[in-house]
Amino acid sequence: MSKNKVLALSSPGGHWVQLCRLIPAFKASDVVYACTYSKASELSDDDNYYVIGDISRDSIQRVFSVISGIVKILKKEKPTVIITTGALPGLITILLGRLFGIKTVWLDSIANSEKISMSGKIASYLAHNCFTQWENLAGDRIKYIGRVI
Amino acid sequence: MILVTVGTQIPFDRLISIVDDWVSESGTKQEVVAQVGSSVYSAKNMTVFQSVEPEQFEQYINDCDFIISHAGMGSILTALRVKKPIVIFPRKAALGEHRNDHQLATARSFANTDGVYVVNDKEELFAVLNNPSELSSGVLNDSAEYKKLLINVENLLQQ
Repeated sequence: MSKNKVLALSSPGGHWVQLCRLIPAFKASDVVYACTYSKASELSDDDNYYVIGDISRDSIQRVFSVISGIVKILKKEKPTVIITTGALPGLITILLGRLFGIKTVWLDSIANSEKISMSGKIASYLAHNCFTQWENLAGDRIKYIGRVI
Repeated sequence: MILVTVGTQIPFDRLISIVDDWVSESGTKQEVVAQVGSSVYSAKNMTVFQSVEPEQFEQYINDCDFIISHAGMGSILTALRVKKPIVIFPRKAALGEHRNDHQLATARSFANTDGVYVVNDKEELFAVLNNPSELSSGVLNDSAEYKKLLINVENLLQQ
């Protein structure tokens, strides 16, 4: 049986640190990583890593180059699952994943301890699975399955 | 060495200027290295970098005695992982320091975590910095909730 292929993608900073906390859960899968760092020191040289453009609500003009970068990864690597810890690049990837017919998973940042992020709320309508790291924030579309700490 | 970090997305000059003031007022001999983002404040008493690549950041974080940071999860999780005390100063949306007040929520959520010290203004930060021997480090445990997350995510990816 062929392994499934995971695309694990996030924004830098806390989003990426949390995504890296999930690495042990990827051991049974082929995995491709993507973030904005030119080199991801958390990964080994053997890991398959792509650099994507950074974007936030304050730099939305870069959206098209970020989209084209992510589309290239999706076409080349053909992941079967996308998992992201946010933020906006993750949301864009979830949307593109839906268009490509790929299973999508959103894990909202543990920083959002009192309410789900704006991106997370949108992701809860787009992603196949949407999770919060705070049990008290779980609801119909957003479930709790554990936390990174 | 004291490491100050505010992430790269939005500057946080209120924190940088307060730390800069403390260095001059306290007359500390300790080196202070600050990652300041796209800051417009020119620090007089610290070594500043706009951004630091992860590898270099890892070096600083291993070398420092403790960390002063905005209330960002990357900083908090990294400090716990390398077992360094971290003083967190949340950004406020009302002051244009972030898009929303999730850092205040983060600060409330981590206020009781070992090794994490929450300060909300200059006086509170100065009080902590003037008594650095009271800072102790936390730890990033593989908690039951973390193990549960890994199992759930692994199962989900296999489905």
